[in-house]
Amino acid sequence: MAALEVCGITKRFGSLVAVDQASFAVEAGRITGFIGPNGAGKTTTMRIAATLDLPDEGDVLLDGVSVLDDPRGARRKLGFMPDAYGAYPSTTLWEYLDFYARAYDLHGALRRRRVEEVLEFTSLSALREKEMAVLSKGLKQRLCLAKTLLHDPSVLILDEPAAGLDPRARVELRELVRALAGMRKAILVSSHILTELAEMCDGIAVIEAGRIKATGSVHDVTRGIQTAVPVFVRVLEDADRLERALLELPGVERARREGQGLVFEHQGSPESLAGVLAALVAAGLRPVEFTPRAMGLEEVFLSLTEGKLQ
Amino acid sequence: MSGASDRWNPIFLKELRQSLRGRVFGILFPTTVLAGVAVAITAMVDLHPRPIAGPDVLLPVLVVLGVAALGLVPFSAFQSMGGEWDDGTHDLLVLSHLSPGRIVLGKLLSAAVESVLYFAGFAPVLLFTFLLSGVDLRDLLFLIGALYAASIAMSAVALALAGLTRSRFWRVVLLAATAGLAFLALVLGYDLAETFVKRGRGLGTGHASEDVAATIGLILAFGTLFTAIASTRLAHPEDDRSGPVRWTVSGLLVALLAAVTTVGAGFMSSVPVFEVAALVGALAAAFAVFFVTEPERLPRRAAARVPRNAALAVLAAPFLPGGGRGVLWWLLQLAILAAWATAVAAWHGAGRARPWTPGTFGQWCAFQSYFLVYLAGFSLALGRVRERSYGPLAARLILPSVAVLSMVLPLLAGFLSGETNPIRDSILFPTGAMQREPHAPKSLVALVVGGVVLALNLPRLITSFAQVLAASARRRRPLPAPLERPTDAAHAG
Ligand SMILES: Nc1ncnc2c1ncn2[C@@H]1O[C@H](COP(=O)(O)OP(=O)(O)O)[C@@H](O)[C@H]1O
Ligand SMILES: [Mg+2]
Repeated sequence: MAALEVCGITKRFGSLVAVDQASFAVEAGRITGFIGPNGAGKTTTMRIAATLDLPDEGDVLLDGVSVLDDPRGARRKLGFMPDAYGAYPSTTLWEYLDFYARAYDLHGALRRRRVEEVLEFTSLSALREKEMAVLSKGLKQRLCLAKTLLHDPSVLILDEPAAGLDPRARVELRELVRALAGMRKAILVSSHILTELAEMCDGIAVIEAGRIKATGSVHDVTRGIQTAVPVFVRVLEDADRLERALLELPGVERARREGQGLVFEHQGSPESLAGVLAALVAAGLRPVEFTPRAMGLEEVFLSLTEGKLQ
Repeated sequence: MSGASDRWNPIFLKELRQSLRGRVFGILFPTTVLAGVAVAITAMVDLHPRPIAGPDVLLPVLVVLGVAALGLVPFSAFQSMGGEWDDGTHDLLVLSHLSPGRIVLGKLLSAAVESVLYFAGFAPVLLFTFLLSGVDLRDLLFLIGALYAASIAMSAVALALAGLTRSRFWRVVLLAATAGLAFLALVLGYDLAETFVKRGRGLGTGHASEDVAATIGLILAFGTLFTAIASTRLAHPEDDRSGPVRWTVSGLLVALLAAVTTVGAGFMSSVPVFEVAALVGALAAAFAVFFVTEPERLPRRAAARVPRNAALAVLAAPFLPGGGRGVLWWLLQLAILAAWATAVAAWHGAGRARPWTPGTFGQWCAFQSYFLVYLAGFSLALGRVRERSYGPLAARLILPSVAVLSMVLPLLAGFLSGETNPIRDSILFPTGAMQREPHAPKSLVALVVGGVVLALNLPRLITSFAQVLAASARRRRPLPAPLERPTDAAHAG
């Protein structure tokens, strides 16, 4: 059983169907990126999974506990980081964490230890007496993550955690999330910016206009839709000659100029691709670059959300 | 703040820390105390040629303290609840292990402490006015105690209203409503204080029992009712957000009847049974507006708590959420009222102005029919609207508006056409309760209309019971919930 199971949820706001029969699952120890353009229904789905909103249809199971039938039970399994997380004025980091630790019914030495642990984990120990208000966005984000970890949840739902972070803070966040996955937590991270998630996720769920377009590991999703591999090639000779030679070869489709070389699309096995290179050499061309490009998340996403393949 | 405080309400600790560190309290507190002192001095200067009397100084000081206790303290409670929305911490709190009741209690406790600080700040001035003589110590202590309790009750009102909506615009409107209520409470309190210390009807005189009972009753009623409302607003939407309020209102109505019975039997020659039954019925109808406009469905969490025993489940049905069960709740209150009236009539006599007899019982039913049309009839007609997300709110606005308009419009028409008694002659269907002499035909019309509305509601009422019985049966033999598993296909849509 997956740690987080979204089972056919639908949510309507008046006539707008914000989420339409969405289903996917996240296994323990895995990070799933929840990707879709703004307004696709990511936050709505996550808030339903976090017991904060109600679906019109369907249910979400956290470690097998239904968010509808047993929201309190589900909340014990759940760490949720909303896109706009709260801060209390004139409160220090330590007080903030201590307050939530109390709110999660941690008492005495256990509470103090948990607060120390999460401060340690998020490398915020040195800032414990600082007021929240003076923290940078990245540090606030880490504090909120620390708060989310206090009751040791098995499922983490992070809504756009990387939004607005500088590159360094983003790398730090990625390391933290990776470490959490190493602790066998199931993690769902949303973003509308793919590069934020590309290096972090084991799997992705792509959503557009409330519908799940694809789910699975990054590799599966990529392979599932990838029919033609773009290949960059540059030769010492004239690019026009290269283009003519290329288009006569089997498996080669469409070539376009890019910089000093060409990008063509190749359809077929790696052997056939090797054949293309050999044929170019045989035709008297001298290749200095020949680079098949794996489809990036960006391309995957674009091809999925346009509703067609390239 | 660790160690001893380990098991204290976390919300209480947090609120206390924030409000004591906050700039607002740091400015308001000394300002208010200074204002109290200034008012006391002004009062004495004004009095100058005459001898200085305690009451003349006490009343203005109490007004300033009243502004702090009924205005500033609830305002800060309102802000602390509203702040949870604005700071985005509301969801985080709801997701924690704190129950809604503990959250509300924590905020109320911190309001109580804040209020204590104001009272402590005023203690020297209050003591001084007492030393001026002319104020009975019992009166002073009662007034201070009542003001303190009212301060907490008013904070409960503020918490409930601030918890109603995330929208800042509506919260400003609700804040204005809170301020209006606080002002009303202040005026009532001032009147009470004046009656006690100036008009010579204080605790020592034996004239004060009714005032004391009314004061304590009002404070308790508002406090408990709005504490219940505040905590249900924080509950999960699939939880029972209606039951606690229904129980509280029922309890308050019963307490009100008990109070009327004892006070009435003691001070009046007889209890005005009919009038009380009519008025309390109308009061119940005002609350029922909120219950009959709920969606009909039994929320899933509430369903999971329905008693396993079928008979108990049926008995509990009027107290479970749902519009039809709201009608049942209201009918139950009417049944309780009728039973009370009959019992009191048998025990103390049937009342003077309009005795409780089988004939007037018919009139009473006709009067309640009027409410039945609005509560059961219109809420049934609005059924489709109520199932929408904005539905209950819309219905709650439409229902009373229609009720008021249907009284005001004929009144206006009657006034314009020169009717001598527009209320009696032009109202939708006048009932015996509004007339001095029984008016059998019109009462009959009301009863018939009420009967028809009730008959139309029958399917809804039966469904209401059926839902509860089904939930109860499901609890008796728990089946594994049939769930749609997510498809394992990589591609959907
Ligand atoms: N409370 C609401 N009322 C009405 N429409 C809403 C509400 N919340 C979200 N929506 C709409 O639902 C759609 C999905 O929103 P959201 O889940 O926030 O998207 P995302 O997080 O993917 O950007 C949007 O079109 C949004 O306008
Ligand atoms: Mg969003």
